[in-house]
Amino acid sequence: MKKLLALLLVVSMIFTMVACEKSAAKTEVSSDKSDTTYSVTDSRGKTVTFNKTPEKIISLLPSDTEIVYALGFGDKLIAVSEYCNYPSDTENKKKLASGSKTSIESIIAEQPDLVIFGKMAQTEDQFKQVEDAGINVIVTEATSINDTYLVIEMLGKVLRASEKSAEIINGMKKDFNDIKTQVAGKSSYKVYVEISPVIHGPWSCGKGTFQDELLTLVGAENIFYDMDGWQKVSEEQVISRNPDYIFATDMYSTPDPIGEIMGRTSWYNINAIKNNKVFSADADALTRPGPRLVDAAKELYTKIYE
Amino acid sequence: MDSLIKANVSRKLIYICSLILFILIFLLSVSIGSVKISFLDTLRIVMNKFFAIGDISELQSNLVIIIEKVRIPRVLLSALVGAALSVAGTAMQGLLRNPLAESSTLGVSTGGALGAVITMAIGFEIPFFPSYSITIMSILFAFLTLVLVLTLSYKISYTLSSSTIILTGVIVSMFAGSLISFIITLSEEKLQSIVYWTMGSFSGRGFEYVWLVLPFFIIGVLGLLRYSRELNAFALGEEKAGYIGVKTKKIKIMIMIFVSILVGVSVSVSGTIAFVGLVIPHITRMLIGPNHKHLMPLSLIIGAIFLMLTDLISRTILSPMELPIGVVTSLIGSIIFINIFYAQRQKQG
Repeated sequence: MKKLLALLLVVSMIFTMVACEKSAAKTEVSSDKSDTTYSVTDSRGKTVTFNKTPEKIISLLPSDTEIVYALGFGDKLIAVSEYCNYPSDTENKKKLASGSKTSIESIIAEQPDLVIFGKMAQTEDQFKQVEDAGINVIVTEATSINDTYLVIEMLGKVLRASEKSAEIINGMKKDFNDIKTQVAGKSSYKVYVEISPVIHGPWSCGKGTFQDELLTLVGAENIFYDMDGWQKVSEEQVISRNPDYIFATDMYSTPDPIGEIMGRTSWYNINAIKNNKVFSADADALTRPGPRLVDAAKELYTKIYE
Repeated sequence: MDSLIKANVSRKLIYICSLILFILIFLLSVSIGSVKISFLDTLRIVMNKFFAIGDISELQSNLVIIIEKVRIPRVLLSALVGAALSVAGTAMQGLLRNPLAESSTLGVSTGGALGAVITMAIGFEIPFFPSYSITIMSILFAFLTLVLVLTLSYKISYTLSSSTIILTGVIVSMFAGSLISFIITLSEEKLQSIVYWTMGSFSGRGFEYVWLVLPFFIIGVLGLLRYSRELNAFALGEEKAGYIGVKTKKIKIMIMIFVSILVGVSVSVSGTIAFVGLVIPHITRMLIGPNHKHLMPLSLIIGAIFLMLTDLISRTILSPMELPIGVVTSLIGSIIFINIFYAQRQKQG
């Protein structure tokens, strides 16, 4: 009898524990849907706490704006930076100055509940001023494709759209893999990406840039693979490294960037010039760490192999 | 008589030595760059391209292009600009009897830069000579600034004391500089090219720039060299120069025009490069004495050597990065400026 009682007791205890666990799991699920506090760690390493899903967002970095749209929250953006030009709906948004010209007053005046800044173009003081005004600040930074996934995931969490962000990331990974399989076995070409033209001192991209990563991905060899980040390069290095393809991303300095490159007096012996393989690349897609990196990779692939 | 011959011999020696040094520094500058090309190969390419001596067909064609089309024009251009700024500085110091006078302390460089920046920002083109627009505007503004600074100085103190001129020059230079910053702020898309240009650099300059500078250089230099006798007379003071038959007003204006041509054309291809026109005349005076007949030609050679060397330093010291050449000249120049100023005050006080 005693034994039976003990057994009953144990069984009932197990039941209550399971029940408790079940109810705990239930409350967690509900917290993901309802407006209770949640927090996200941004690229500064700062944990930002949200009391409710942001409804009035300002994004001051073009790539973040593109991600917010891709996640399906474009309608929640009340203002974007003057450089945000994709997707076309950004035309209808209020434009704010960013970078060194950022006006904290005009940001606060818009009464947003979230401001997304890019780390590279802004300063700590600006983040603090906005935070002091009681507005949540998320700072993003991405210098590689992998960072880009992390930022998409982060913004997904902020907007409570983790499923959508996972979908975007998996889509990008699949597209990149498709390109890799297409490229496999094809011969490799040497490529020079000109970020800024010779007349300003030519700038190109080395290790640790998306451009380099994308070139490697499409099976091309960046002629400045041995350089770190974005740097000024010397004209004579370009001539001596003799690229097979040249991609120009600068669209502002001359009305005809391709013609300008083709006509450079000391470049006539470079393979890309001799074979007419100078292209302009969509600078926005190629430099913004967002979902369109896939488009940039496809563009490079098409121009090199087709 | 004996000492005169001696002076002549030593003068010849100075000319010969500086010319040899010029050639050596030229070859050195052409042989050093981010792509390694041996000094011997460089020499062979230079001899072949300049004097059609020797056969370079077995050398890699890219190396020949790098030497011929990238390095030689750049080094030549820095030599031309160095020579132009130095001889202009010598003339200004002689004319104003002011050891601190030069294009940057008189505001002429910044004035010229303002002309160039305005032209770039509004995309203004001079009819018939569109490719000379920036250069001509830069010369014009350099001249106007020079006239403005000298007129203001006369108004402030009739004796044209050394510190009044420099103070006026610095103020006018700051004024022109603030106008440049203002224009840069307004012209967003062209901002990058203007900012890059104002820092002063010879990077990416091909032969087209050498050909652009050359005619202005020749006119300016020949113009100034003609006035070496008058500049010597000015050293006695303007009044005394008048007594010995120098038409002071006309000559002053002519010298100012030639100085503006040289400074303006230099600024238009390489931005403002400060202090070259200050340092070189002093070094040259120490070598050959105050007679402008020798001072001016020698300052051409020494100025060319100096700027070739500075450009070499600016592009190799942080290699593969490139330092703006204005940073290097200002660093050296401002220290020498303080030294001259201090020595001058000690002498007076």
